[in-house]
This record gives sequence, C-alpha cells and structure tokens, in this order.
Amino acid sequence: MHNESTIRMVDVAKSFGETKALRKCDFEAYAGEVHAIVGENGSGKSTMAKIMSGVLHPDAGKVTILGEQITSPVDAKRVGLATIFQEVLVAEEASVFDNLFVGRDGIFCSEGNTDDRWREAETILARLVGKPVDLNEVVGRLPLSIKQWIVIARAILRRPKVLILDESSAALDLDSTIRLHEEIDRMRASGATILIVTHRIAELVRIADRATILRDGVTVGVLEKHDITEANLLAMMTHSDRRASEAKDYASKGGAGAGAILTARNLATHRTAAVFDFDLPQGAIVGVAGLDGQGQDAFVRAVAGIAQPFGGDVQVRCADTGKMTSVGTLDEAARAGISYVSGDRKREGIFPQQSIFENLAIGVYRKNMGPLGVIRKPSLKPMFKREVDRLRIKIGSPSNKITSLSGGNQQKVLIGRAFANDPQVIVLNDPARGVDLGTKRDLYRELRIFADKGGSVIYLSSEIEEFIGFADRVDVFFAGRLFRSLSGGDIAEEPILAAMFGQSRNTSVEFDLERTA
Amino acid sequence: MVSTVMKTDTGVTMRSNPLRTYKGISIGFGLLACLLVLGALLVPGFVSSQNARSILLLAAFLGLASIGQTLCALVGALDLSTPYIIGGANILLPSLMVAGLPAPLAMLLVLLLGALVGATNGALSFKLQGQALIMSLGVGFAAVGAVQIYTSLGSQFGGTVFAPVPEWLRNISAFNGKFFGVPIPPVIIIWAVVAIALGWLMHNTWFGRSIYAIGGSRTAAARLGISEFKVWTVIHSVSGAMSAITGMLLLGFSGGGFVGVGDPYLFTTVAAVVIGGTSLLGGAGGYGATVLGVLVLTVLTSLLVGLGLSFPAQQAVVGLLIVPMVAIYARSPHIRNQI
Repeated sequence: MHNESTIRMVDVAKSFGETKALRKCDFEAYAGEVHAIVGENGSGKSTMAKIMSGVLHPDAGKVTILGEQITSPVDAKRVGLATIFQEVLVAEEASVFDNLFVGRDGIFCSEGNTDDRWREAETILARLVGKPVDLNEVVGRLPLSIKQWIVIARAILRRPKVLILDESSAALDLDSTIRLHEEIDRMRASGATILIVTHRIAELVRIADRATILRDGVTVGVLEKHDITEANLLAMMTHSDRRASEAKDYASKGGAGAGAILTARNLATHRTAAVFDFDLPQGAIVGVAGLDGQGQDAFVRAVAGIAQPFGGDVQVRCADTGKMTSVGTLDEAARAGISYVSGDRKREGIFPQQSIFENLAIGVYRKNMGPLGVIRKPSLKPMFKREVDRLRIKIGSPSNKITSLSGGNQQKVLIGRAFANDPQVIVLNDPARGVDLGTKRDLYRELRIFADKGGSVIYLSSEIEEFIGFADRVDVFFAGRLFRSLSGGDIAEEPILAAMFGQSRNTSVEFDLERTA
Repeated sequence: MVSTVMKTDTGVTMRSNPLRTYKGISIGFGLLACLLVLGALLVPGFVSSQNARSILLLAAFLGLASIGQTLCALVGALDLSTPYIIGGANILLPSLMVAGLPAPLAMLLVLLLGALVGATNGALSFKLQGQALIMSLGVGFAAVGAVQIYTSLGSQFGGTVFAPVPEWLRNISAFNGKFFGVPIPPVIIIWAVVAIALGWLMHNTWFGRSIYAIGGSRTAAARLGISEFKVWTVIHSVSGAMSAITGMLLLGFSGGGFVGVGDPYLFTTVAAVVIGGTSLLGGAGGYGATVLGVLVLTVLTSLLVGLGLSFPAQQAVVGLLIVPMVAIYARSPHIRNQI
C-alpha cells in the first residue's frame, strides 16, 4: 500500500555527447517515504537527481513531479522540491542567516517575517548541529561541517514536499549522520518524500523504506524495506551474487615487516591538544579514524609534510642508509618517499583541464627531465600503462581530459600518480569519499599488494566499514590526539565506534591522557 | 523480494568530442577565414604580398608582446605593465645610445631591466594577489616614469628621444626589411621561430607544465611541490623581457623613441589572448591560440582600415568583438556545471 505518487519517471534517457548517462530509467516515489537511489559511480544516480531538480533536461521519457512537468530549477522550487547537492554551496562572506534564506525574497518583497524566520532557523540549525549556532556569524569563519549543515538547513527551511539529498552526508561524521537521520524521520512523518542518493550502504540500510537500484543508466530493480540488505544491494548493483562479506578480504596474510618506517614523537595537532607518539611498521596498513575534527586530518597532513604540526617531530627511515631523518616540509617528505592522496580530488587532486596522462604522470615529471627541464614523456608511457592496468582504470584515450572519467576513475588516476613515485609510504586522506564499490575493491587490493612488498600505508577514512577486513591496525583519534590503537579482532564496528566517542575500555591499549609537551 | 531485473548491455565508451576539445581553435580559424574572405571581397588590394607583409609585420610586434600576457593568463594573472615597459624600452634604448653605449650593450641592458621590472611585478603581484591588477599597473607606471626622468636629464622633454638607429635594427623591423635577401622583415621570422619554440616548450618542459598545473588547480599544484611564487615571478619576468624586446624592435620600425608607442598594447595583448581562446581564469589555452588571436585582430584592423573606417570606428568594432568572445570562452564549463 502506498500513498500518492510524488515523483514519476518513465523511460528517461540522457546522454552527454557519446556518454549515455541514463539509458532507460524508471522511477516512482511516494509521499511519506525515504527512497534511496543506489548504484556504482557512473551508473547515473546524480544525473537522475539533476533531472528531477530541473537542472538537466532528459533527452527522452517523461518526468512528473508532484503532478507537474519541471523545466527549470526555479520551477522545481515552486512546486515544492528542494535538492541538497554534494558540493557545499555557501556564500562565504554572508551571514549564516542570509545563507539560510538566500533566494527566498525578491528585491522588494519578502514572503516571511524576519523574527519568525530567525527563530525557526535557530531551532532547526541547533537541532542539526547539536548546539546553537550564531546566525550573525560570517559563514567563512565556520568549519566545513557547519557549512554543510547550513546547506541542509536551507533546504529543510523551505519545507519541501520532496527533498533530494545527493551524497549530502558524504562530509558528515557518524554522530552528525544520526542527527540528519532524525531530521529525515521527522520530515517523513510529516508526509514528505525524501530521496537519498548515496554510496553509504550501511546508512541506507538503516533508514530507507525503499531503494531503486541503477546500473549503467538503467533501473535494474526496486527493493522494499525488508529486502534492503547489503548483500541484496551489492548483488543488484554489480549484477553478481557476491555477498557483501565476501566482497572484502584484503586483510594481511603474513606479519608486518620488522621495525618502524615512520615515527612521530610528541606530536601535537592543535595548540591545546595533548601530545602523542605514533609508529608505522613497515609493510603495515594503519587505519586512521575519528569523528569530525578530532585531529586525525591534521595528523595525516603533518605526516605527509603538507601542514606543520603544532609540535613534535616526524621521522622517516631513509631507504638507502636505513637512518631516520626528520620530515617537516613537502620536499623532505617527497625525498623520503612519502606520497599523499587526497579524497578531496576536485580541490587538491586533479588538474581539470589536463589530460588523463598528464594527471597521472605529472608527479614524476621532475624525475624524468633532461637538460632545460625537457620532460622525457615517451619514457613515461610504460609507467602510465602499468598503472592504468594495475588499477584497472577505465579510460578511452590517454589524451582525453581527466574530467571525461567518472569520479571513481579520477580517484584511481590520482592513486596511480602516488604509486608512480615508487613511494615507501602512501598516506591516503579519505580516498574512497564518493567512489563506487568496484573502485574501493581495486584500491584495497592494490594497497595490500603494495604492503606485502614492503610498502607502508596510512589510511584515513570517515567510514568505519572501510577498515574491516583491510587494515592491520586502526588508530582512533579523539580530542586532537591518538586515543586508542586497535588491532586484530578489535577492528570491528563497535570497538572503533566506542573509541571514536572517547569511551574508555579496559581490553585495549590506553594512552596516557595527561601527558603534555 | 520485489525486484524487477532488466537486461542491460554494459560497456559505456567515453570519447571526448574533438570539435569541442578544439572549440577555441576552430572558432579562431573560422573567424580568420571569414575576415580574409571579407577582405578579399570588399577591399581592393587586400590579397597582395604587400598587404600580407604589413599584416604579418604588425602581427609580429603584437605577437611578441602577447607572449607574457599569455603566460600570465594561464595562471590566472594579467600583466598590465606591458604598454609601459614597451614605451619605456622604446625611449631608453635611444637615450642610452646617445649616451655613448654601443647598441648591443644598450639593448642587453634594456632587456635585463625589462626582466627585472617584470620580476618585481610578479613577486609583488603574487604577494598581494587580490590587488594583482593594480599592482602590475603601478609597477609599469613607476618604471616608465623612472625611465622618463632619466631620458629628460639635460633636455626639455623625455617622452620623445631621437638617436641614430643602427641599420641592422632598422632592417629587422622595417616594412622593407630583408631576411637574407628575401623581402620579409626579419621580425616576422623571429616571431615564427619564437612561437614554435614556445609552443613546444610549454608542452614538454617542467616549467611549461607547472604553469598549466597552477592555472588548473593551485592546491593540487602546491601538493606537487610547485612553487606558485617562483612561477609567477618567472613568467612576469619573461613578460617584462618580451615587452622590452617589443619596445626596442618598435624603435627599429619607427626610427625614433616615443613613450606612448606601447599604449595600444594594453588592450590588444589582452584581446589577442581572449580571442585566441586562452581562459583568463587560467589553465586552458596556450600560445598557439594567442597567435591565432593576434592574426584575427591584425587582419580585422587591416580590413577596417581598408574599408576606410576612422580610428574611433575601428575601436568600436574591435571592442565589440570582445563581448561575444568572452561569452563563448570565459564561461568555462566547470563553472556552468556547478549548479
């Protein structure tokens, strides 16, 4: 039994040049349900969300939203549809309040009373963020997590009949995700339709009432609540009967090599944070976890030489001499054989106007230069082919622009760039953010092979599931410092989660909380 | 389990559309061809070796002056000091020769000063990035002012300087100049060689690739250890040196130093870059595109002159050409796709 239908798509197709993003997409959602749209990267999820929001127009097929045909984003807003996109779109120099109500008023007319708006905004934002936010504050001075909340609150304040969340929780930590889910529950109860486009399977298993699965631009099925399980979703997305538990088996088979390849002593991630030590054994994959803003990000950046820590010393074992040398700058880190891969590929990874080849090989250009800085490009072709093959990057011609690739394949190119440097240590900062399962599997496999050959890996992730069956050790950060190291059977959802929330537990190694610099 | 499974054929092929990739270039070529056809139809004597030579000669000066502007545009900067350095070099060179310096030495000195002013400009522009535009304007003003203070020492007016220009310099830039006996002004050959070399270097050297990297993504470039400060300083320095060279070559063309000789180049260098299709936001385009832009601009001017348009009318037409060009190029797709 369903309520009235709010969104209906019939036989929708959409192409970008020769790329068919959607081939034959059918979709229906009802009032008062949370409906997930699931699929691997490049399966057409985002295109679908953009068509519903009126941003894109379908080449064929029919789209009806709340009984009307939508032709533009303004039109979509008019009928009561709000979309929260993956990008955090805020006006940095305007106040929180102005950001929340941007686009609501005309130049000379206003539809609402400012005092009422203010109260309403304060209530909702406080509920979402978990603490009150000053609406007069300039958005640019707020942390990313709050900016993300502002974008979400902006949509909710419109009281939409249909809300589309396009990977909107990608930047949220676990605690925040729970609050978002509460808000979604509240909206569902009031009869709204909520569409969630996400890669986070665990998340949608928890909250979705129904799920539509896309593969290569075609709707391959719709699952009802009781059928939404990881195994079912995976099977339909990849069209194989591989179960979720079998999907990942990249745990270490042998022991880690002898000795630490990288050590950090008396490290401080923040001016007021307590100091801690860190050791990276050779041949190990060490996971780094923590709730949003607990110092884990500053830690991996410090280790990679990108940002200076507030205190302490990072040392890396020199490949030739075996001596430990200090690493403080990007140059020193590069010389010591540390490669860094960012999950924020749009901002600090790719060069959007350049070719796939350039994007992969640019990291080794300097090592392959002749007189006058002339790069020996032909000599890099075998390297390029090797990385493309090993990471199974799906490319057309190497001279095509990087932006012709899907997000997952772009990320693979960046990982190839890191591998091309032949590093001792690879530091990955949430590399799987917004990439599909296939890419994740390829990534885990290659990192394990790298570790088995003696390389070492530091892997920061915001998704706990990533570590399970993959990391040899998980270092959980809390309050700006390394809080607890978990290994063996403790690498499971519950112990990691407990450590992330700073809960004490006797069974694992505790660090001395009181030690300071 | 309610699931409707449909058959799908996988294997999505991705190929970028070549016409789209070379959109800038194809529009440039199309525009150039149109202008040439129009000229041939409307202006008697438009298709002649005389006219071709004069177009190429003027294009060569503009082309050399646009090198710096192209490099700056590729990292998202603009060098507004170009006209002042051209003017400064144009009067400093004869002034130094009058003072008794041998021509080659005087030219070397002017070149180095141009590069130095450019480097200062680059360093300051980078450090004060929000104000980069006014910074390059200020540095150019200061430079040309300083030069005029020097040239006016012991004379009434420093803006015009007369000196015997060496015959070989005159030959390089003059309309009737000869290149090893062939009646082509050597500056055209110099421009062609420099253009080809620059195009190759930009694609095959670390320096060239760093410029594109910074223009494409500053943060990603920083992660690779590319120093933005160094690149800004060097390209502005190249820009200053090329402006100085243009100024000196223009001396050979006109025969006498005049400080205002560079003035048209403020608009035309930027316009050549934009018409060629190099994005002023950085990262996309190149000198090959600028060469096309230079030719379009020069042929257009020649056509307008041939049609008998007055200078104000020429200005209006050239100015209006910029509007559709910016509309076509400067709205880069990644900006349009953000919402």
